[in-house]
Parts: sequence; C-alpha cells; structure tokens
Amino acid sequence: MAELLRVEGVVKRFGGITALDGVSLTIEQGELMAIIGPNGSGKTTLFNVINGVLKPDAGKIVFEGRDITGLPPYKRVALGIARTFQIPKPWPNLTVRENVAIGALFGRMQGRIGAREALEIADEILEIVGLSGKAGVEAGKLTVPEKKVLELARAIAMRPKLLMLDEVVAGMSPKDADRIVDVVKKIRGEYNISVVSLVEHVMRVVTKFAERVVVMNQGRVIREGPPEEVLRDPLVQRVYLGGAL
Amino acid sequence: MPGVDPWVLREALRRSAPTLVFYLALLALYLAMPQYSQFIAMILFYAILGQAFNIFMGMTGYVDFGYVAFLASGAYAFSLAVIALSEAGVTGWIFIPVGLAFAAIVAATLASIVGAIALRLRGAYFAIATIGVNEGLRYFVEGANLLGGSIGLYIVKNLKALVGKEGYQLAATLLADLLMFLLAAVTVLVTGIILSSRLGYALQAIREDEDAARALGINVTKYKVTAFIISGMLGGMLGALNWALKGGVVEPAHVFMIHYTVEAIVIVMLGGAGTLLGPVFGAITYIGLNYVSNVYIAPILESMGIKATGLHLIILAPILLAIIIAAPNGIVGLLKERIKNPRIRSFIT
Repeated sequence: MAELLRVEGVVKRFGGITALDGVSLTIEQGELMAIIGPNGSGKTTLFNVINGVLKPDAGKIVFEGRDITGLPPYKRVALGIARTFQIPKPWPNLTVRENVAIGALFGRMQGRIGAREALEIADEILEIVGLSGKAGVEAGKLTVPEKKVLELARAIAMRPKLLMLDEVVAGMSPKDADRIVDVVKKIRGEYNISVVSLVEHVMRVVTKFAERVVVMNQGRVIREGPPEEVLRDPLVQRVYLGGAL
Repeated sequence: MPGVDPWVLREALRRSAPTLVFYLALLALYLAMPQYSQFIAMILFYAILGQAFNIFMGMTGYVDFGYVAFLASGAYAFSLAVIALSEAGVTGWIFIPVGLAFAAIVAATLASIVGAIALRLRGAYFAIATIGVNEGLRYFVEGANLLGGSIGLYIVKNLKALVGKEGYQLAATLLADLLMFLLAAVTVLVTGIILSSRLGYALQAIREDEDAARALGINVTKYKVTAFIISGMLGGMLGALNWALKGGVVEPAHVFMIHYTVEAIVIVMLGGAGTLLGPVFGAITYIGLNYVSNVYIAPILESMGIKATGLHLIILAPILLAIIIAAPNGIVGLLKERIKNPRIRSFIT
C-alpha cells in the first residue's frame, strides 16, 4: 500500500507539559487505523496537529509526499483531510442538510461546486448514513448519537482522502456504536479513504473496526500492530490497567 | 450578474421576494400619502440600516460597534465628489452615480483596512476595537481639521450649482427617497444572494461555531472580511443618500454618532438576526415604539411635571428587553416557531 500521511518526530508542548514527545507514524492509503491510549496520552493533540489547528514545536507532517506542516486548516481540508470532533460540533441552527452541504462546499471540492450541487451531495450522503429522515431538522435538535452520525456525514461530504474520527463511538450504546462502525466501513469501501479513529476505552470497537492499532501513552507511540496482538501486549495492558497484570 | 449560478439567483429571488413585497408596499404608502412621506422615509432609513448591518452582524454574529463610520465615510465621500464636480464646472445629474460609486469605494476601502486588522480579534475584543475606529476617525477629522473639521461639509450650494435650485429641491426630497427605495431593494437582493451561496453558508457556519468552521475547511478570515466589506459598502451608500444628498450637511458630531450603531443592533436583534424580513420588522417595531413613547407617553410624563427629554429611551429599554427575552431569535424567529403551515412558513425568510 502507498503511504498517505507521515508524521515525523512531532513535538508539541503546552507550557511545561509535553503533550507530544516525538511522535512518528504513517497511515497507508485506504487503511482503517485506530489510535488508542488513556486519557491525556496526546491523541487529540496529535489530531489537532495533523489537522492544522495546532502548530507543532518540532517535526513535520507529510501528506501525499508533500510537507504540509505550515498549511492552515482550510488548505489541508482542500487537500483531503477531514475530521469529526469528540464532542459533536454541528451548526445547531442550520438544518442537517445544510450542515452536510457546508461540508461538501468547503471540503476537497472547494471552489469547484456551488450551493446546489452541495445540497445534492448532502442528500446523497444522508441517504448512505441513514439520516435522510432528519434532513430538514435543525441540527441542534438531534440526539447525541444522531449528532455523531451527522458529524460523520459532514466529514464524508468533504470527500476526504484521510478521515479522522475523534472518539466517534464514546458514550454510545453498543447498537449505535455498531451502526457507526458499519457506516464507516461502508464509506471506506465506497470511496477508498483512509480512516484514523481515536478510541479511549471501547476496545470491542477497536477489534471490530481497525486493521492496525497504534497505542499512545504520555505523548509517545509505545506499540503498533494488528489489534489482537497489540491489545494482548503486557505493556499495553499495564498502561490501561495500571500495572496489575 | 456574471459568475453567479442561475440557481443561486432563483434561490435569492425566492428568499428576497417577501421582503421586496414589503418595500413595495412601503413605496405605495409613500406615494399615496405625502403627509406621512417623511415618517415612511425614516422607517426606510432604519430598515436599510438594519438590512446592511445584518449582512455582517446578523450572519456572522460579530458586533461592529463602529458601523456608523461606514455611513459617515460614504457621506463624506459623496460630499467630496459633489464639491469636486461643482468646482470643476460640471453640471447635471452625473454627480449621483459618481458620488455613490465614490461613497461605495471609500467605505469598502475603510472596511477592508479595518476588517483585515480587527477581524483577527474575536467577540468583545472585536467590538471594542471597532468603537475605537469610529471614535478615532471622528476625533481625527475634528482634531486635524480635515474635511471641514468639526464644522463638517455643507454641500447645498454645490448641489444647486450642479442641477439648479429646482433640481436640488427634487434631489433632496423625492429623488433621494426613491434612490433609498432602490438601495433597499439592492440590499435585500444582495442579502438573498449571499444567503443562497457559498459565502452565506460559510458565514452561518462561522456564526454557529467558528472553531468547527475553521477545522472543517472554511477560511474564516476571508469570508468575514468579505461580508464586512459588502456590509460597509451598502452602509456607505446609505450615508451618502440620507445625509449628504438628502440632508446636504455632513457634520462629524452627527455622522459618527454611536447612537446609530446601537439602533442598528436593536433593529437586527428585534427583527431576527441573519434573516431577510427581520430588519424590516425590526425597523417598523422600533420606530413604532419610539413614536408611541414620544407622542403618547412623554406628554403624560410632562403633564406630571417630569421633563421628558430623552425619557423615551428609558421607556423603550424595558420594552426592548422584554421582546428580546421573549423572542431571542427576534420577530422572524417567533413567527417561524408559531407558524406550522409549511407553505406560509416558506415565505418567512
């Protein structure tokens, strides 16, 4: 598989705290990957650095062979990097359809499609994720699982090459979580995109979803490999369970 | 319009139609009842003020406390054009398009300078910076004795030199008002086009959650500055028409008055921020309340021996507070909540 994204020795400090301490990893084209790690291990900071919301203090981000470390978020989105938020951030007073259409308008198709095409794309994607029935509803009125699906739909509408999901199943019922995983797998198949998902606790989803797992702890990558292997690793278990095993 | 998708134009017309109908009705009243024409012209001024202000404040959620500076810059620019043309010996009506174009250019230039700097600030910091711009400009004009200093510019005799005494009478009354109606229609259509296009979606996303907008690929600064410039340009033309052409006088103590900005905020909030009908409803309600308090309530207070100058503001404030608490999304928001019939609802834009 060809490399899509490479993170090279990224360091990010907040005052005296080193949130990312020399993180390196690669994401292959079309890969389903999960980044796991306990709270505070630096997963979300890593996302924000890849996405361009935060600038790293050292290291670089390479996307499709191009150094994008200095690019602002909107240029990275135009290249094909999209994300969702741990706490869903839909635009509450706009309809579900408009939320998704904005994703399409400002995603990788930026500047090439108008509002009408964007609304058509929105309808298409809402159909795929099973949210068509709520298209005309204001996004603020959705339930939390529905908001998560909307976030996903909005990100898919951006036609990304790399889709980054931040705790997309945290706090959801197993049924809702399975639904999201199914949607993600379906769109990965349909559009051949790479998906990186951050997961803190829901290991059942990790095994079901990911082809490869990267484990972070205290700002470093401590293990990576196939899910079954990594989750059985004594070091990983110690990180999660506090050394009892 | 070149470069605009016909679908966007159709959408814009659909959204603008109800508001345009309101302005047509207002125009009919204006023509039918000359005794009320100045009252109607006042409503018109406030409706355009709200409409133009709405393009920036209503769609982005940013409060520009220095908005009146755009009206002022437009009024000054128009006056300077009039003075320059009359001194050059030009005669005829050409001064109107030239003056308006100059007003739009000057206001847009001011907006791009202020916007490029101040729009990097967020929330209250932006609001404070814009107050500074307005007050700073005013004291600069007065202190440096520029553009007539604190006295301002009187252009009546220049206007008379351009189009004669009778021409001036027409220009300062009927013509100025009709041009204001035209400006109102243009402002509504521009708002409709923005709401139906990429720019409008970007602005609404910024208003609803700027961090999400940024992370999801929207170049927030670019779109905020664009809206700021459009809003400022329309404000500049309003100032040119209402103060320079109609009033014939541009005084810094008047045209930089922060009062107008506050009124614009009230009108937009009252009517419904980010909507098309909102500023019209807001202006009618605001002027109506003002009228009631000045004509009915103030005399009662005066008969009780209370000097009522400015008291109407104290009466108005709680009424406005009550409306804003009862209907945080303004009159249009309230109507949208109450009216369930989708056909009628589609007209509330």
